[in-house]
Amino acid sequence: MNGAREQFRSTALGLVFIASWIATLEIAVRQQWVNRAFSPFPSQIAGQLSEMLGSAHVLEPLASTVGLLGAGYLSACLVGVLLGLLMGYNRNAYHLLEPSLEMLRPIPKPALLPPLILLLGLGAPMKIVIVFLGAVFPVLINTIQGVRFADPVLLDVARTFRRGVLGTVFRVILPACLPLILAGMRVSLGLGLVLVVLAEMLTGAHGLGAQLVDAQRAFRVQEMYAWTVILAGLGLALALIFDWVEARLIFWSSRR
Amino acid sequence: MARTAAGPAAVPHSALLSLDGLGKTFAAAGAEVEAIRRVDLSVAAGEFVSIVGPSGCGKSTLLQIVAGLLAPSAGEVRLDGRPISEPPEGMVYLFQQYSRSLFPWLTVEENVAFGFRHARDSSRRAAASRCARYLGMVGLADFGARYPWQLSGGMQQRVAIARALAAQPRVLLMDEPFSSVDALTRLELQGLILDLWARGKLTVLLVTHDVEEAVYLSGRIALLSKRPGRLVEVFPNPLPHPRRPVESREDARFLALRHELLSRLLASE
Repeated sequence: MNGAREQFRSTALGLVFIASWIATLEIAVRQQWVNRAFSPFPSQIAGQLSEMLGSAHVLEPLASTVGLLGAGYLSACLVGVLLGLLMGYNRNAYHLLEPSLEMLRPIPKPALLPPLILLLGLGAPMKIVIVFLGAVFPVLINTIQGVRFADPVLLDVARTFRRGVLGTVFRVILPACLPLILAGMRVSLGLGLVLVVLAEMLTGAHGLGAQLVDAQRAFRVQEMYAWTVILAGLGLALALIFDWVEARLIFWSSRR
Repeated sequence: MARTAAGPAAVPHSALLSLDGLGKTFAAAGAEVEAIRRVDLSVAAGEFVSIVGPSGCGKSTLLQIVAGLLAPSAGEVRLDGRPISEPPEGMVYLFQQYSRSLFPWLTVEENVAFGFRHARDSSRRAAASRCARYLGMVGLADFGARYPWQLSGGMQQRVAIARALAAQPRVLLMDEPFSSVDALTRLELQGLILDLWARGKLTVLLVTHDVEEAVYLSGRIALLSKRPGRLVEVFPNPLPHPRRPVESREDARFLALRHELLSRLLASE
């Protein structure tokens, strides 16, 4: 009871603060402290936003961005986890692949966009690949760490009950390192969103990033801000969905 | 016919489990540490044998070698005459750390089923009734849907015992299984193990530092020296069955064997 009230109080505190700085922004623009040509009132952006959200104009780029992000991100998670299990479990696989990994991992992924555009063009495959390349490393690294630091007692339990390699890897090791894998996946999701938007901004054809740049180049300033807000909302929604999924997958992890 | 070999002075004639010249040396930080040296021991089917020794004498190492979880540096372990290199079929190791050996992401029932679920012939319904049977044996019939972390330490160790037994092993290896539960729970769990052993054709090898536990539970007691652990002597236990938690501990034979073992242990420290 008290806990719920405490929770409400602390949430309310944060929301009031947000409202107050939006109000300050509104006043700052109305008072001409900021050039009106480049920064409309927050209330104007809100009006623009509600107009856009009612139309299919938003849905199509949103679906395009989410689709590319989803394809790149989910395949990165799958490959990262499977490769990470292999590298964590098998010493030879680790020594074979680890140097390549250490070479590719530190590259700032946006630097790969120009060569990828040359190789794959401006379309969807390039964007999926850049999201994949950005998202795969955090998942892979965390999975390897998770396997290597999995509790040896659990591995011995699997051995004494004579589980084979696959049973041990997928029924014992994978769940045991799921908390660490999910921590990697959370980082990857943020990176993936950054990269898909960046790729769209550079190629300017479809998606939220392209709309954002289009609006800016055409001086549709209100619309540009509206796209920014939509992207912020997308980031928030993805984080909330992630929290929801994570809480259901590792409900046991904080209780141990 | 059931347990003639478990009688007081029984010398195992047909060994189910035999340890021959077992030795283990660990390489640690450049130096070699000898944990156990030339241990020979035979255990017949249906026996309950305890291994006691001062702390650090390598008795846990010894049990892990018997379990096939650790490779010996010298000698070999044979089950039914066949040398062990990996955990063999029909033998299960019960871990001391129940809170780490149960899977927190599985329910109590799923944890128990982990012990035998890879048996292809067991259908889902058969598996459920097998879990229920063993959970009932350890007094946790109503707790199958809970998670281990929702249970007390003593209950968690019961789950671990149910999981070990549900695999229907012939040999149960236990490494100080009751050392991290409170005193009363320990008495209950000792009674439970003794009941379960008396029921079936289970052969038990128990490692413990608790002399009273060893005398109360087992038919023979193997005494190890301090590091490197060597087998000093194997004591037959004259304490009659069935054993009772209070009365058996006041029996003159219990007290005499306890006295003997404790003085030998203290002398070796």
